[in-house]
Amino acid sequence: MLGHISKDTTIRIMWRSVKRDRYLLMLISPVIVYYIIFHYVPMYGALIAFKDYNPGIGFYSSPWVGLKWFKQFFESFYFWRLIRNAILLNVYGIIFSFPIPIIFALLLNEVRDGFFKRSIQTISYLPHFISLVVIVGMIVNFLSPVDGIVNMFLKSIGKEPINFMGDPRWFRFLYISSGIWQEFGWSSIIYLAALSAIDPTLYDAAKVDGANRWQQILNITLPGIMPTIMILLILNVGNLLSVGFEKIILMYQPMTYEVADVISTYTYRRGILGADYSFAAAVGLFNSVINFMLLVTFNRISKRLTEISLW
Amino acid sequence: MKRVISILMCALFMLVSIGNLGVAQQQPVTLKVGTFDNWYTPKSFALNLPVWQEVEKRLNIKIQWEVAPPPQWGEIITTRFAAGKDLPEIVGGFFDVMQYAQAGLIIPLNDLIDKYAPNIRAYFKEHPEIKKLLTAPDGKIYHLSSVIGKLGGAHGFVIRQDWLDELGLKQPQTLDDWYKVLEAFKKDDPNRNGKKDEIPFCVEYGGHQLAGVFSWAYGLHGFYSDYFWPDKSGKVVYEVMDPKFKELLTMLNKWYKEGLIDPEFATMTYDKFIARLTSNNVGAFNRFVHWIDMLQATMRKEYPKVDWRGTVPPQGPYGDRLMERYGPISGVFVITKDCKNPEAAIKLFDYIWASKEGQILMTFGIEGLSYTMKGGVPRVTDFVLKNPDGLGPWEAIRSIGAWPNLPYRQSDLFYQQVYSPKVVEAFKKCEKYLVDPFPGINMLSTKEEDEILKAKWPDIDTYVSEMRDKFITGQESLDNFDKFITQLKAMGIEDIIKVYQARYDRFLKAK
Amino acid sequence: MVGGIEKVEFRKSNLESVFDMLIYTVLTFAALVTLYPFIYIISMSISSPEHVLQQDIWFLPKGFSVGAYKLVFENPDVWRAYYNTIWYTLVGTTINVLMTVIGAYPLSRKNLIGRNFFTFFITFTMFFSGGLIPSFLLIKNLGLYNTRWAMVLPGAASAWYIIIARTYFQSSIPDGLIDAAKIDGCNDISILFRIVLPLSAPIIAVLTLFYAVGHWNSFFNALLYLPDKNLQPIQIYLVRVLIQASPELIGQIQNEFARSAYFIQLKYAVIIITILPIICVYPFLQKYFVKGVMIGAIKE
Repeated sequence: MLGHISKDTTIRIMWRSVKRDRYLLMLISPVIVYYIIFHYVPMYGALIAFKDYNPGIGFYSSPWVGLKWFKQFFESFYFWRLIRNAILLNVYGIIFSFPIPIIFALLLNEVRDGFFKRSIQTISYLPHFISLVVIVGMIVNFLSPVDGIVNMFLKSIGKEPINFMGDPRWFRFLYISSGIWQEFGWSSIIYLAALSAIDPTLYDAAKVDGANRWQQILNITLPGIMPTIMILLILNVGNLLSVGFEKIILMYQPMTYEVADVISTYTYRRGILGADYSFAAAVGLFNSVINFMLLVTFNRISKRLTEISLW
Repeated sequence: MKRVISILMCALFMLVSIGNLGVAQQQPVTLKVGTFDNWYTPKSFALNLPVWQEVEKRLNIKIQWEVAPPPQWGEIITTRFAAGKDLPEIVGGFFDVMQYAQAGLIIPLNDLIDKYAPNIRAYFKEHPEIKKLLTAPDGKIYHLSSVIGKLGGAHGFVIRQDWLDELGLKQPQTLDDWYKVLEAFKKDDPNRNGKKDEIPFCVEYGGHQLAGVFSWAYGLHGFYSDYFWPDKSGKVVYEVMDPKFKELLTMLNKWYKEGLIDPEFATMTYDKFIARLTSNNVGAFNRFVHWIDMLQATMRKEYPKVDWRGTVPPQGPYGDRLMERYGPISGVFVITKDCKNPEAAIKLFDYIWASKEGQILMTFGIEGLSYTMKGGVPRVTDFVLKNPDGLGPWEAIRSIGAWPNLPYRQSDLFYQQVYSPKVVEAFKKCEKYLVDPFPGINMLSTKEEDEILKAKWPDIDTYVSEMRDKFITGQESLDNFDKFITQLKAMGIEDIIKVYQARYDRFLKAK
Repeated sequence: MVGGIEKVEFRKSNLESVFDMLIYTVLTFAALVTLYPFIYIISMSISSPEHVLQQDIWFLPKGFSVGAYKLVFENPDVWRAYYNTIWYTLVGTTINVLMTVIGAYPLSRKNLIGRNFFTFFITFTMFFSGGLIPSFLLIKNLGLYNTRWAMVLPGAASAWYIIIARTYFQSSIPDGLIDAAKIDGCNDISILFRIVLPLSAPIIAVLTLFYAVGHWNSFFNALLYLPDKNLQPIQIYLVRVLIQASPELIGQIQNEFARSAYFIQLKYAVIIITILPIICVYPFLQKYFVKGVMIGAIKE
C-alpha cells in the first residue's frame, strides 16, 4: 500500500518537473532527435566487432564469432606495448601540455595593451593550421644529424651529432613538445573566453582589499575558470587510450616502434594487408570501452574533489 | 485506295522500325567506372580526356567516371564495397579480390573471356605466367592487372660517375668494390668543396630498401619478395632465417658505423631524399633508374659536371648477382555485380588490355598528337618530348589520359623513347640480371590462408623491421641474431611459410 | 609613517613591473616561436623551386616565384570550390551554433529533469559509434548522398562543444539574473534568447570560430559523400592539385614522373591559401573573447 502511494507520488513529482521544464525540454529536443538519428541508429555497426563481417553477405547474415577478434588482439605479441605507449604518450601529454594553454591564457589576461594582446594571441594559433606533414617535415629538418640546425650547433660546441628521430629515448619528448608548439595557442582560446566572462567587479573588490596581482590570480581568476579546466581535463582523460595515428606514422620508424607504436598505427599497418573491418571494429570498441571507463571513474573523482563533473 | 494506304502504312512502319533499329544499335552503352584518379592530378579522368574519348568512339561506349585522388581512393572504395550496393560497374584499385569475390560483389571473368574476349585469350596463351598469377584458388579469374614494363620497374643502383672519374675509380662490380668506392667518397672529398660532407650511399625507403637491394648480392630476395623464395627443390623458405642474411646485416652494420650510409636512412622522406641528391652530397643511391634524367636536368645548372650513371647490381661473395623487378603485374581491376552490361565491360578490357591497337592507344596516346607512326612503329612527338606547356614526358602523356589507372600493358618502347640514352644504357646493363619477384606474393589466398596471414604477419613484420634496423645501426648486437631467429619461430613464421608454399604450389599447378 | 607607505607602494609597483616584464618576455618568446613556422612556410611557398628542392631555406625566401600559387588558381574550378566551402561554412556553422546553444542551455540548468540522463546520452556518443559503414548507409538511405546537406547535417552538433558551452552557461551567467527574469514571468525560451545569449558573446564567438574552422578544413566527409565535382569544397580541390604519395603506395608509382618542383612547393602554398581567409575573419570574432572590450556588458 505504501509502495503504491510512493510510485504515484513519484510520477506526479516527475510530471510536475516536466511541466515546469517544458520549455527547456522543447529546446533540447531537436538535439536529442539529432543524436538518435545520426549517432544511435548507426550504432548497431559496433556489433561487427563480434562478427566476421563480409560486406557482400551484409550485416545481418555475417556470422557471429564472439570474442575472436578481441582474443587475437589481446594475444598479439605487442599488445601490452601498444597500450603502454598510447597511455604514456597521453599521460605525459596531460602532465606537460595540458597546463600550457592555461598558463598562456592567464599571462595574456594580465596584459593591458589591447593591440599587443590581440597580436600575440593571433600569432599563437597559426601553427594549429599547419598540416602535420609540414610540421613533421620541419622537425625532421631541424633535427637532421647531417645538416639540421640543432646538430650543427652541437658540432660547433664539440659534441657528437644526435640522430633524434632514430632514437627511442627522444621520441616522447619530440612528440609532446611539437604538440605543445602546434596547439597551445589554439587551445588557449577556450580559456580566454572563460576568463573574459569573469565579473570584473570581483577584481575591483579584491584590489580595494589590498590583494596583489598574484593573489588576484589565485583567488579570483583560477577559481573562475576552474570549471572549464576540470571539464576539459575530464574529457582529456576520456581520450587516454587514443593517439592520433597520422602524426605517429609521420614521426616513427622501425627503430622507434618500441615507444612510438600505438594501437592505431598497428591497426593501420594490419589494414594494409587487406580490408579488416571486424578486427578494426573490435580494436576500436576495446579502445572506446576502456576510454569510457576511465572517463566515468575520473568524473566521479572530480565530482568528489572539486564538485565539478559531467554528470 | 484502302489497300494502297495500308501498304504505305506497312512500309512506313517498317522503315521507321528499321530506322529505330539503326538508332538503337547506335545507342552507346554506358559504363560506370570507379578507379583512382589520374596520377597527373590537374587532369582528372572525369574531364573526359582525349584518349578516353577515343576509346568511347572506337567501342561505342560512354564512360561515367567516379574517381578520387589515389591516396583517398582506397578508403572510399572500401566503404562503397562495404555498403554493398550502387557500386560502379568496373572498379580499379589495390584491394583484396578474394574477399569481394566470396561475397559475390565481383563476378568471375572466365566465361566472359571465353565468349567475348579473343585478345585476352590470345594473350593468356602467349603469357601463361600472367594467367597463372591472375588465377584464384578456386580456379576462376576475378580480376585483371596492369602489366608492368621491364624498363620501368627496376630499382637500380645509380652512382656519380664524375666523382668516380675525379677519384680515378672504376664503377664498382662486387660488394668489396662498393666498399672501397664508398669509403673513397667519404674520405677524399669528391665534390671538391673542402668539406668532408659527402654521404656515400642513400636510399628513400629505409631499412627495407637498404637491406633489400643489397640482399640481391647474397642471392636473397628482400625487396619485392619480402625474403620468401623457393629453394631448388621448390620448397619455400624465409630467407631472413638464412645465415647469409646475417652476413648481409653484418656488412651493412660495418658500413653504417663507418659513415658510408646516410645516418638518416631510416627516416628519409621523398622531399628529403630529393634535397639530398640535388645538394651535391650523395655519391650513390638506389631508386628508379630513370630518375637520372630528372636529376641531371635539375642539377646541371648549379653543378655542371654532374654525371649520374646506372651500374650493374653488385656481385656478392658467393657469386650472386641479381636484381628484383617490380611487377610483373600491378593493380586490381574487376567487374562488379552491379554491372548491367558485362559483355561491354569485358570488351573494354579486351581492347585496352589485350589488343595491339589498345596498347598503343593506352601507352602512346593519340596519333598525330602524342605520336606518329614511322615505319610501322609508333614514335613520340614533341608534345611528349618537348611539351609546349613545359610538362615533363610523363605529365604530358598522362595529361591526355594515357598510362591510365585501368588495366593496360606498359610499353618498353615508350620508355626507350622517353628516357635518355643514359637511362636506356643503364637499364640494358642490368637487364640480364632481372628476376621476377616470388609469384606467391601476387597469388591470391584462400580465406583460411588469409586469416593466418592477418593474424600472424603484422607482428612478425613489425619485429623483423625493428630488429633489422637495429642490427644495421648497431642498436642491437648481431650476437643476438640466433635469439632473433628463435623468436621468429615462436611467433609462428612456419605457418606463414606454409601459406606461401600453398600459394606457390597453386601457381605451379595452374594452367 | 608616510615614508613607510610610500616604500611599500614603491616596492609593490617594482614587483609588479618585474612581473610585467616577465610576462611580456614570455609572451613575446611564445609569439616568436609560433611565428617562425609561419614565416618559414611563406618563404617556402614563394621561393624559387631550386631552393625548395634543395631544402636550404631556413627563414627568409631565396629567389622568388609564385609558380606554386599559379598552379592552384589556374583551374577555374577553384572558384566554385571556394563558393562551396563558404556555403558549407556559413550554413553549417549557423546550424552548429544554434544546435549547440539549445542543447547546452537546458543542460546548464541544475534542476532540469533528466539532466544527468541527457548529458550521459550525449557524452556516450563521443565514445561509441557504429563506424563508417553504417553512417554511410544511413546517409544514403536518408537521401542525403551527393547533396549539400550531407556536409552540414551529420555533424550538426558536437558533444564536446555542447559540454563546453554548458560549462560556460553554468559558471558565467549569474543565477540571480535568471531567477529575476522568471519572477518577471519570462519563460525559458525567451530567457535564453533575450538574456543569456547577449551575455554569452565570448562562448558564441568561440563556438562560431571552432565550428567554422572545422567546416573550412573539412575534407573526408566531402570525399565520401560528394562524388559530384560541383559540390566539392576547396580542400578536395586542393588535394586534387596536390600530388601526394602516401606510404602504402610504395612501388605502385614506379614511373613517378619527374615532378616539377612546383609540386613540392604546393603543400606550402596550400597552407597559406587555407589560412589567409581565417586570419582575415578572425579579428572580428577575437574581440569578443579577448577581454578588454566587453567590460560592463554584464551589468546591464
